[in-house]
Amino acid sequence: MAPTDSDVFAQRNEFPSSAKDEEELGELRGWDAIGEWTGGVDPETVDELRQMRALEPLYPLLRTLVGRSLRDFLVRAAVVQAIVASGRGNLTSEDLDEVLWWLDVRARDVVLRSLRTSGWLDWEPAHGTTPTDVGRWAYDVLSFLQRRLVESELLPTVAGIEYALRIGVDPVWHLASLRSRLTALRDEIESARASHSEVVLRRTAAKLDDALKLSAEIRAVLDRVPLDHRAARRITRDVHDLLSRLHGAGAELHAAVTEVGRQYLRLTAGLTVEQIVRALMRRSRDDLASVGRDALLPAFTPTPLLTTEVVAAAAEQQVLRERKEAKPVTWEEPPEALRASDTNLVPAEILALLADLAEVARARTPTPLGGVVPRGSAAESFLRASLLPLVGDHRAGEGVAGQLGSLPLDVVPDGDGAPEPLEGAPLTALTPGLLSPRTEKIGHG
Amino acid sequence: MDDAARICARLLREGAAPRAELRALDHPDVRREVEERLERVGLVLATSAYSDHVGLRLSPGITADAAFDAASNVGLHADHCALLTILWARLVLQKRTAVDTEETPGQRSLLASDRTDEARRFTPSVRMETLVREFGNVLGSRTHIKSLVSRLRALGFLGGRGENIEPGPLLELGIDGERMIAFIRRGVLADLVARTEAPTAADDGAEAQVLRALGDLGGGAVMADLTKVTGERPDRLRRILRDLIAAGRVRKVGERAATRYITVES
Repeated sequence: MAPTDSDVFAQRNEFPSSAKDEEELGELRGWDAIGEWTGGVDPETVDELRQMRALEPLYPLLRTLVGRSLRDFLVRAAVVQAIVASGRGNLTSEDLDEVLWWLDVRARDVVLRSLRTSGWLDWEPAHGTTPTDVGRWAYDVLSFLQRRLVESELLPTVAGIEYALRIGVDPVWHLASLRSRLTALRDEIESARASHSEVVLRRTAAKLDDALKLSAEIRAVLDRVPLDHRAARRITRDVHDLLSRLHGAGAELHAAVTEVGRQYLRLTAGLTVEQIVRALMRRSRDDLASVGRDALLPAFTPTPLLTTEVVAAAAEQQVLRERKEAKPVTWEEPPEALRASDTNLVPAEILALLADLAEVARARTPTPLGGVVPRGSAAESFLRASLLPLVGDHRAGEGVAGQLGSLPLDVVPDGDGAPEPLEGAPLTALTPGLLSPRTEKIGHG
Repeated sequence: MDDAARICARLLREGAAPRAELRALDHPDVRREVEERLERVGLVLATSAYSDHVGLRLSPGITADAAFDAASNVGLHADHCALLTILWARLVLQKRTAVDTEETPGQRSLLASDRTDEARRFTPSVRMETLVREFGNVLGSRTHIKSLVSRLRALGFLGGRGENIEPGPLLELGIDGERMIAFIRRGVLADLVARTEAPTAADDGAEAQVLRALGDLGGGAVMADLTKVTGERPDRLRRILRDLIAAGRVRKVGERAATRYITVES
């Protein structure tokens, strides 16, 4: 049988002969071969790898689409795009001629055969060529990718989450992607602020504004994440947190733009530094270098003036410089830190109060408050009065409170607690009452 | 040593010196003496209305040789020259504007004499990080930019320390400001014009070609003529024309074989 045009074409290596060869190459290293790269660990036991196995049916599709060169990839992607965009369910040979008019007939045969073999297209003699369901799916994803490359935006990810929720799939992957994007944006804001560049700040602010425009939409989608998807809910909370941080960062970013703008003068003819920098950023290195080279004047730059004598003298001074020997380090235990007793830390006024109260307890005689509280100055008397509630209170802890609480005394005020005048004391009035020694023994527990 | 010899020695050693420290140079006799001495060794004084420094340049007699290249003479490569262009625009333009307008960024002084002093003292600066973020894709990595800055600092084109880059005396004395300003004006204006007149989808590609063809055919044509002129297939032309009609740039007159497509004047 005589070879067809496309076979001859393929033999000349202009186009891959068919997707079959490519598949054969790909199958050599499949799922079973992953163990070689995991040190013998069964890939089934690795969650990330197990999840990715669901993508296995996509491999022949993508592999065929990529082909062996960028030309293969672009032409094949364009063919899929043209067929899907034609809006026809089935394409006859004449339809294909019309839709793919821009592709050489021999190249078209090879490309269509590859796409049919790999599952992008289906072909029935009665119906002609039809894009397969999987092919349409992959095309949709590619179109998202293409849009992502053209316009940096979160919309495809948000739409992905929405779609996953609608068909009942856990949107954790899309949410993780959204979180990753927002985190990257937050980092970019920090980086932009550190740059102090008006151009960079404005560019980042515009990007942030674009993202925040979708904020309401993102929140609405996040609210629909079901409660039973725990991992997704956790990421949702992170995304909410990131969004609120980004809202705050937006204001800071705009403030930074204003602040940086204040540092520059508006140039003559109304130009701004930002406009100039933007214009320069559009130029290639060679353009900028050429301008700099042309504008450079033959400036004289001094060379170091040295003589042998100068160098020798400097070297001599360096050699003769006195250098102190470093003392050898002796490693030993450090001396113990000084310890201060509690007694030294307690004020004398409180020690005096404790002594007076201990005396009352020892005498086992009820003593009026007026005989114990007023002492020295009004300040000291107030201090003594303020500590009385702790006296005999066993709940008190350690230190002064503990000592006061351990005293076998009760404070028994008289009447309704209204103060009565005192004479010849630092206090003018005091609640009447007694410090009464306790008679019964208080046990623990 | 006389004043002229001292000035020459200092300039030869430092390359550029502040005018305030070379007061004797204001005396016509001393200046003439300095110029004569320098001329004998192939140098001329370099001054600028915007610079507080005096420097040296090679005399035209030395640089007249066609093989002479100012950049390679001081060991500057393409990256250095590109960075010089960028930093001249960022630093020198600011300084010149401050001197011309007697304005500086920040609060404005009430007294004119204060404003003049402030403008003269104003030293614009740019951070290394700013350069890296703005021109990293043109000039390369941070380390590379740092090495370029170090070289330009050593030669006296740049000043400042560490991350803070300031203009050095040669950024004004060693670069032709007129050329730079001409380039910047041309570049910025071209950029602004390009941005305000960004091409729409119809201005580019097949739609533009069809519109041009219609223009060449007197503003209107039948499909057969369009096919002939553009070389496009009829089905593709029909699709393009449908888009143009939807965009209001072309209208359709007549039916079937008599259908004519006419450009809508905007």
